[in-house]
Amino acid sequence: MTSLAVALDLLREAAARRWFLALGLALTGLLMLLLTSLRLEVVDGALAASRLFGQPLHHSIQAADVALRPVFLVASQIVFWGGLGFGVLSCADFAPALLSPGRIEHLLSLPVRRWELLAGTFLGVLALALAGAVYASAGLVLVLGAKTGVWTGWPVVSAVLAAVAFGSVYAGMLAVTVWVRSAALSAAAGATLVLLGLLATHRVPLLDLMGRGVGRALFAGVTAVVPPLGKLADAAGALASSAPLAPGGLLRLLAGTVAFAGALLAVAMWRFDRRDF
Amino acid sequence: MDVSPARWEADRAMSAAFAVTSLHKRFRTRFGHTESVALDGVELEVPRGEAFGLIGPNGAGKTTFIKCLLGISHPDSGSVELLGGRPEDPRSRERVGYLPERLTLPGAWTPHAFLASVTRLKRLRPERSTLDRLLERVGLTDAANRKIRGFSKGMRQRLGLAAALVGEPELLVLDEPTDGVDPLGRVEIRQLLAGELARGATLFINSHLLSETERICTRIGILSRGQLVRSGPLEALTAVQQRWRVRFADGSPPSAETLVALGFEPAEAGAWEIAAPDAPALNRALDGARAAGALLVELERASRDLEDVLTEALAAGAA
Amino acid sequence: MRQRWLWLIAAGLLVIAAAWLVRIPEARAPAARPEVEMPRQLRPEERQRMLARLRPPVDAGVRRNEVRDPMLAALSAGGSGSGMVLEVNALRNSPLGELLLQCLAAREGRGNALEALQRMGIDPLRDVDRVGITEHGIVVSGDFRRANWEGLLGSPGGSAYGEQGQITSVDPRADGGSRLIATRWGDSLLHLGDSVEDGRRVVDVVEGRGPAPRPLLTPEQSYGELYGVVSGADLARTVGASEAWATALVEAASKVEIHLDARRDVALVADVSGDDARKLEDLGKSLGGALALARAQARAGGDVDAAELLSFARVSPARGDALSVEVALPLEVVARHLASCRGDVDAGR
Repeated sequence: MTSLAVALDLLREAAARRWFLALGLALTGLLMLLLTSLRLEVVDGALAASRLFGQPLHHSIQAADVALRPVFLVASQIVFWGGLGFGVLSCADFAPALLSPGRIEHLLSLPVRRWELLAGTFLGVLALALAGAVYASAGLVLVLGAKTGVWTGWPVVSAVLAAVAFGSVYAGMLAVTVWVRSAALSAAAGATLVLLGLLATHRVPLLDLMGRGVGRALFAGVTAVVPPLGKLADAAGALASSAPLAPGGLLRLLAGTVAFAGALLAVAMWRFDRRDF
Repeated sequence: MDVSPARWEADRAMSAAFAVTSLHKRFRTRFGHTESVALDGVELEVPRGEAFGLIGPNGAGKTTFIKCLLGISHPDSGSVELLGGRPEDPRSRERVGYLPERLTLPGAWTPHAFLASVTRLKRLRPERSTLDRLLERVGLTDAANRKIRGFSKGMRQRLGLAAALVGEPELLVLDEPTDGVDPLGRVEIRQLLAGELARGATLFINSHLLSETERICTRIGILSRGQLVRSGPLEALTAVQQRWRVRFADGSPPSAETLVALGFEPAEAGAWEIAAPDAPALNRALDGARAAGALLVELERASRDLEDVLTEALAAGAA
Repeated sequence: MRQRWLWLIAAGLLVIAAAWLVRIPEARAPAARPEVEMPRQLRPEERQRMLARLRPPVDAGVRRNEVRDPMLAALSAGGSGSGMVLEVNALRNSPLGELLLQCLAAREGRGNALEALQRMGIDPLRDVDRVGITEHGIVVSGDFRRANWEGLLGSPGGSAYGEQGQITSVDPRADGGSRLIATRWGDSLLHLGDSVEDGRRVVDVVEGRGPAPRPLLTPEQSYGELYGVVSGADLARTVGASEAWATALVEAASKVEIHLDARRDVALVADVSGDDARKLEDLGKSLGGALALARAQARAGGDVDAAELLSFARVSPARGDALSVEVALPLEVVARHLASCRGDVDAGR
């Protein structure tokens, strides 16, 4: 429960920050713009015509839910990768702020266990990422659903995947911060993990290109553990666009991502437990 | 090994506010070399209900001591008992109120929000009336709904003090509690702390303002180079043995030369001091002054201020 | 202290678990969406096929730099606005081919063309390359060197016409079927029609004599397993007006060019041309709605495959004087629609 209190405090802190206010306003503005300026004509379940700001959008006339698939696919990728990038930049200083002199001493003097502080910070940031992703996706589903009669919850599920992916990245950012209190280093760690996640997606062909040696072994070792973010993004896109997906494979991928995040958090806890402030 | 809650409560009620034994702490470089010795075998026990002041020069280890006491830093060796338990045990820290030397406050929050957060983290239910009372006690009622980022240094200090008072702690650990506070504010804070003492709380204060420490604390400890070089009741530390301060009625004979001849030495503010190894010697001197016509209006044991005590202790430590 | 090291142990175990979980290959690949390639242009093998069919005119008086596809030329001979070509050779091994051939055999007014071919010693599935259907008859192309023309046509020879033409009247069937005029051109082309004039016109066009008629189909349009053009008038007779989209189609379309890919499931592309852009736009919406409705009905009926293929159905919006309809249909659906056609065959037996 103490972790939840820490998480809620972080959310209150975030609500007052310009980054997140700007994001909230931007998302809301975009959705309102779509709601008011996008006109969709649906005939017997087929998306017959579309207009944006009065200008016709040229597209095929086909079943509305089929026509919306590419829209949801693109939106899911924007939420996934855009969310990762935004999250790495905007959340980089939560942990350094937590560990700042004057703040951490006060927090540690309270009846809060050290792991509860870290866990609460992680949960707070994860909740932030989830809220942003779900808001964007759910908003799009609502707007398009109201205009076409096509209602689907899969884009929202896809947004949850994006949040899980960010969770694995933020766990690394948090772990780095426990060692070196620096927002810049934390952001760099996040960016590095995103890059490694992309490389891990194409691990096998990349390994084939490498010659034997320490570098190849290192690359193989690191990418064996890092979640393949590209696969997660593809799965998110498939979910959002109602494409076929092997549920077992997705669950394993998610479990592996959660395990990776857990490992990083455990390392952070180990270090944080005995660190002097 | 975990202790049962009932046993823990019983032990807690009987124990000192805190007790540290043979506390050692070194700061090392990344490569393991000793950079500095912060605490070098500190032993200290503070009974409940006392106001203890820890003084010493910069770099003596005062803040490190407080951090080890509260589990914020981990000593290399030695033991720490905090309110009958270990500092790592949240149950011990539940009853502690701490004001750090540099408290970072969330600028976008109001005092109410900050105090509510501290209350929740102390596993208590934040109630508006309770928070209002706290703010009233520290003189921040008018600023209750302002953003903290607009607060002065003194206002932040008051808010930090209010946070330390959340939950009526049994032990208040205050690092420079009046730092940045105006003189009137210091008076208010002293009165507040006196009220906490009257409530039964134990105060542990680290302050560079020796005059403030003298006014608040009943026991003093002097830390120098990681060692506790002096510790004891304030009166005992500041009292000067075998020396007395007297005051005679203004305008009464005898002359200053007469008093000097009798062994009296002029002190500040019209008072006189005399060295007497025992009561008979003191009375002989007083009888002599009275015989010369002096009218005795005040007699007390001569004392030094804390600054003198500190200076002497540091000099002795250096020697 | 021990508790602290538990974090590290947990981290190690989780790292191993993470590596194991993300590296497990999928036991079974997910069923991918069926891939349907819509016929939009000549595939490489179709282009080679088309080029191989082009012939120069045989008449000495005609310019030698012209090349033409004899089958397409023959189809254009009657001046009809409609004509369909079935690539029998390409369809031979596909399930749809058999269904279409059966329907072809039941075509009213032409008797049993397949039986006529078999009487002439022509194996429809071995010797026949293409079958074309127009108002003025059926054109069959292929390799007819084994055909016994003299003996099977029931007359000493018929009359020669042009450089390589031979026009023969084929005896009616014993049950009173209508008379056929068989016009063959060399050993590669056979026209079955109602009149000798039609036969002569075919030979003239194929050999390049006289003014070239407006081509019904160009060689570049010979892609798909079934392709052709249907005029507005023929469309009205065929489609009827039972549904809204059908009515809109008849009103808006002056011509429909159809291409069908039947290597697996059936993929159909129909380019609808018309003079009234507004009517075409309404037609597009009606067709789109009808297709979406069909998909919804398939899903409601639990026909997942049909619904999935119908998700490929789309109507490109009208641009100027044409719009395009793409539909992918499972073979079973096509078979159901051709059942009535094959029913005539069974009834006729």
